[in-house]
Amino acid sequence: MGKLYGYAGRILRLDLTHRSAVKIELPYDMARDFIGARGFGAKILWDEVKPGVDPLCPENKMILALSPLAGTAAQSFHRTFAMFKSPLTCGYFRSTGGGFFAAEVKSAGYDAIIIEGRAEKPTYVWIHDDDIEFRDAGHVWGATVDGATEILREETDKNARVLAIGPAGERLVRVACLVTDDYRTPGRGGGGAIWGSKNLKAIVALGTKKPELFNEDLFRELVKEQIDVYKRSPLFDAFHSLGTNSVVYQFYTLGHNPTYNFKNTELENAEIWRTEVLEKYVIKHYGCFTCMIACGKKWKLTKGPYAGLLWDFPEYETHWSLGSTCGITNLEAIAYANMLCDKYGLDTISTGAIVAFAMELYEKGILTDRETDGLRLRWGDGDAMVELVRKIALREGIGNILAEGTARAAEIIGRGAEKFAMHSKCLELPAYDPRAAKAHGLSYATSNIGGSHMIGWNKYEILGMPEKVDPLTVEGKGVLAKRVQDQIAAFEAAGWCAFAELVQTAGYGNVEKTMEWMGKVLYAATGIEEFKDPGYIWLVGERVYNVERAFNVREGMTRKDDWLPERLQKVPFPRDPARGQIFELDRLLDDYYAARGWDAKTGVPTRKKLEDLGLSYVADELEKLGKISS
Amino acid sequence: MVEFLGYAARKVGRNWLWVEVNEGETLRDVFLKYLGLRLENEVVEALMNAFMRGEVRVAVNGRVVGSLDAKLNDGDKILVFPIAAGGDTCFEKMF
Repeated sequence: MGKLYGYAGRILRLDLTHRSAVKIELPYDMARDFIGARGFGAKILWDEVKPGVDPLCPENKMILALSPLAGTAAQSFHRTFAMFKSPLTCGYFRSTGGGFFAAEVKSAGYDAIIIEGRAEKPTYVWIHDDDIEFRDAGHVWGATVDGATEILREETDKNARVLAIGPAGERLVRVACLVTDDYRTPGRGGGGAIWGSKNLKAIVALGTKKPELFNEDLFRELVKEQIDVYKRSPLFDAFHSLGTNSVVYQFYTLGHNPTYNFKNTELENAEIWRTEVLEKYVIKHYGCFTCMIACGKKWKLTKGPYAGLLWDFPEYETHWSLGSTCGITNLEAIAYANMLCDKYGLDTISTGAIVAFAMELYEKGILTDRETDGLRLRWGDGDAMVELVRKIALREGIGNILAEGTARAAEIIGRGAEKFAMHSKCLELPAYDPRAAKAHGLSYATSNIGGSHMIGWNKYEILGMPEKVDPLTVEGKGVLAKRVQDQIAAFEAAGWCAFAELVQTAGYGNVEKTMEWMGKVLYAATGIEEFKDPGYIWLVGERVYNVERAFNVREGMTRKDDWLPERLQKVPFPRDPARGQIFELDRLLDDYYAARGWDAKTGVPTRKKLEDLGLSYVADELEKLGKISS
Repeated sequence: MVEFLGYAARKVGRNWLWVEVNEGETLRDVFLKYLGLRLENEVVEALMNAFMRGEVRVAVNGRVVGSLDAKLNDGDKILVFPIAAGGDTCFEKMF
């Protein structure tokens, strides 16, 4: 075991209860076995969060973890990964966002931050290289993210980077998120509520350190190759000019972007998502730390009741969640609600999905004007959607119930509401219909974090790249879903941005070359020999995925939790191109567990599988708990 | 109906075109026979080449097709689109 290059070499443990900050040396084995970012989060959560812990109690922890390449010249590896036990799913969670915060934390000298305990009163943490201060946040408690960020920068350093929660997190809204100073969000799973439960308003970071690389020349050469591949990628120009807005209308026509809470009937006026319409709102392009793709856009609204807005644009998922799944084609209302979500600190995907759920309940008469305080939740009404977003953020009226997320809200409301709660493991489903892309849908069902599009975003089915796979067939989809989940787990253990990986893979024309490049650049940065072997990087991806699964197994999850709503399993898809399709859950699960080497009856990893992945200690604990046999 | 997205639409100069096809005709016929009559040859050729290279996709009734030999029926909706729309430079490189 040699010196660790590339990494900052330290983990920062913040105990909010005792206001203590401890710097721990990064263990070499953990770096080698889990690379970083999502990998570190999975490992630390497994080691430190006991089963059965209430997600909103001081014993739960959040791990903020970074790539070993964060803060270097490598493109697009500068994301913040947040791992925690979710107040929404009550299981393992990983959430990620871009911006500049991660690079700043790395510059301050940390590869990960473990947040534990609960502060006695509202607090923010000021990290300035080796100096850590726990400061009173009483004056910004209750403030929106943008307002609090401005004040905290004034009283620390104007160049500092901030990760904060808004009023939604403070009120323990289960779909509240963390927001960076440039409105990039580790958005899903209720991380904002975790901070709220810990009385943590923000972390402000500023650093001056620079990581030492193992082989500077090789690293420089590989980054040059990366830039060349980005430039020649057929996706680069589209993502640079419009970000994820480049695919909104296209995906609708290909059977994704489900409408009306997954009833998925035709949406009149869907043409407003054509690129020539969306690009008219763009006034500025911007990117995350060292990312030439610069997929971020600023939108300006000049007409209608929301005129004057100048804010971060709605992403693909947000056009769907605050738009098409609510039957809304009012772009100005979508942009305004997106801004409210950023200011209040709400996950736009879950929030919009909750609004769609409420609109369907209103349509069915399960919710009436009496319960909604007179707010008429009609499909397509952008103004009603905006008002409901505000009510959810502030837990006002019906918003107080909906702030619990669709699954819990359905239980509270009763009267058959659960039929219309479109979630998996209590995480609201995002902007793809499992009936129209079976391996992608299988990832919704089996994902360790619930209904997420990112855990197994199936480029083979959705973009037909690097090779085309028929999205409607069932055969072979277990293997495909596993392959993509492991790929993404490997890329995210390295802390890479999913869009950027897509751009690079499109440039190379295959995933293998991308994985090989990533292994080499990790080796050049860190000096860890194993990273040179792309087969080893794949193994790490599968290892991370299995540790995450084991965490959920330890919490009591089994095959029964790998589930999708009845509507997707029983109601045929009503429009082209997936007309007549349903989601064949049981058949697909059997295929998936076989591909994973997990027990088909329980969906639990076998001892052999865990041992093959170097996870004997995980197998031992699961055996001790009676979750697996020897 | 043939619908174009992103830079494909910009190059063609319109978002939609309606063409009438005969029984048994294919996508290739649409490109060569019908679009060839309405658009500049250079544009049709560039679209077909980009399709061959996988930079432009074609879907019939929302299903992406792998070959221009796909047979068409009356009322089919054809979508011609880049992998992701937006921007111009990729398309410019086709010429």
